[in-house]
Amino acid sequence: MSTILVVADHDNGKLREASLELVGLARSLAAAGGHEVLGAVLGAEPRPIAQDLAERGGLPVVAVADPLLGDYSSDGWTAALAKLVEAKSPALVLALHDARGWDWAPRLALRCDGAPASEITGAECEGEGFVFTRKAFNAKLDLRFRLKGSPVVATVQRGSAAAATGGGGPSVEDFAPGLAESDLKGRFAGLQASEGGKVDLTQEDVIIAGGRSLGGPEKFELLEELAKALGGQVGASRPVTDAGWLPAERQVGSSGVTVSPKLYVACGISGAIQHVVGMKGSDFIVAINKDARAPIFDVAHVGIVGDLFEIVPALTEAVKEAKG
Amino acid sequence: MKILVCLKQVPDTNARLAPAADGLWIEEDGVAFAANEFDLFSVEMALKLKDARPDTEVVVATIGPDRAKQDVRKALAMGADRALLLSDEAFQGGDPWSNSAALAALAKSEGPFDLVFCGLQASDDNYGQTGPLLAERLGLPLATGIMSLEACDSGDGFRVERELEGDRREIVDLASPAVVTVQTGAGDSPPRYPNIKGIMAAKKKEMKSPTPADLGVDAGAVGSAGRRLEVLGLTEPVKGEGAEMLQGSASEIAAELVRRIRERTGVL
Repeated sequence: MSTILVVADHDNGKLREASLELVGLARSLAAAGGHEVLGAVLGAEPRPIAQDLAERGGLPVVAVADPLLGDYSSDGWTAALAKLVEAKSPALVLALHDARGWDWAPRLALRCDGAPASEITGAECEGEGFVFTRKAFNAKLDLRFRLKGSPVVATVQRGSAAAATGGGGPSVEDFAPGLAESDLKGRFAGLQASEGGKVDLTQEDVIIAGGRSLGGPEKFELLEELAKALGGQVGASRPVTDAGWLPAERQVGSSGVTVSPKLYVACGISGAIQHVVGMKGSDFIVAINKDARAPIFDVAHVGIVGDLFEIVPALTEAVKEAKG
Repeated sequence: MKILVCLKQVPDTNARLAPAADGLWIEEDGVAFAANEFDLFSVEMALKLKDARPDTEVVVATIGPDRAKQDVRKALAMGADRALLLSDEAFQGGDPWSNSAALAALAKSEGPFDLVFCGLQASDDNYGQTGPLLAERLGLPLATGIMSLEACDSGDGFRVERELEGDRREIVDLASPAVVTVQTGAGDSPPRYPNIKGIMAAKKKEMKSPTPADLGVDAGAVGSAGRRLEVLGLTEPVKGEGAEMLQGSASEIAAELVRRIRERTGVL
């Protein structure tokens, strides 16, 4: 029997909820392959969060404590987890695919002579090992793969498994990796909050989002008119905010905000997974795109293949009429 | 200062892609290729450092076939000093594991470098692993997804801002030498366009294509031979129920959408 190690993440002293999805994924693999699931929480004083994970996920958790783990660092996380991997010999390590996970997971895989798996959306057992699935080419294609080397250190895309609830046998074990100052050549030096803050898309009932194919910042007026008619706000995919057409606070997706409005209208957005994870929880999704094969149509409830420059103004008019 | 910028050629992001007959890679016939956008932001960030300190040398490294030359030339035309194109057959068909082995050998043989840039990810396979693996192979500190970088006055390190979720940034101090991976949208300005003078100058700039032996690396550790990732299948996404597609004129579609929005959302 081998171990699947779930590295939970936390922010502001609280467990990140998506960590429970990792437990859910680990547990389904454990059931199929006869593995056991072990959680890990890193920090200067990780015990309360480890306790929370153990109780809510129903699993044994290791509290990996070191004064040098008080702030996140790639060096600190990699070094501490390498020690934990040495002690527990997991076959698989799961982490969230986010700004922390992708920062340390590949390094850990190399340091332990294992193998890295990035942004997986699914996994299954195959003999002693695992087969993984993920999106590639900006979600245009699906990739199935396996890896040589153990442990596999995998970062998991949000929403890839249902969150685990309960399960029994919660316990917390302390583990001291004994880091040295010399382990940290890159160090945390502060956090900078959002410069925006005028718009909070997470609070909106209606979001009209546009992609790069609109062609320029002035074209977003069309979306603003529709948003205004429906009492909502305009959102965007990453290329739009990168180009400076809209401020970063309007970006929906894995590197922006995660939203779940009552209505989400995606205009000229192809549906790269980084965008989709930020909006797929919306109650009702309408997608307008000129490419019938755009992956956005897989998550939308209603789709229109056509010219958004015709459909959006027509919809704005129809909405105004309907409201009288 | 001496800087290495790793750049990859990828299918154009607007290209329609389909699996090749063997189901292990894309059908490349008819697909246009371009420099990975993340990497162009790396090039720009490196060149900004060179603008401030003209004695800086910016070296571009690419793993890829001959067709990648055009994008290596583009980086040279933007202002990089010289380039290495790992076009030897032994370097082809790699994954991040083996590609980072090749780049680590290159960094050692052409270095030492004070700073190594990679893109946060490449927009073909989207792994985002090459930079972190390269840092680990070189034993250097790492920051991924950076939005800004400044060299410390003392010359012994860098201060970077990493992008976090929800429009927040984390400030990280890195000892020199270091490896960083760059997010799109980074820096104060988008990647510069090569001007005519740059394009002419690029033609005279050095572009070497070393073999594994030249770099002192075992050919079995790089390219397809050094892979740890085995592709089992690359397929069109399995369509779920997907969207119900509406058809008709713009006004017919608009009327139908209003009906659905009313029925499904209560916002009207």
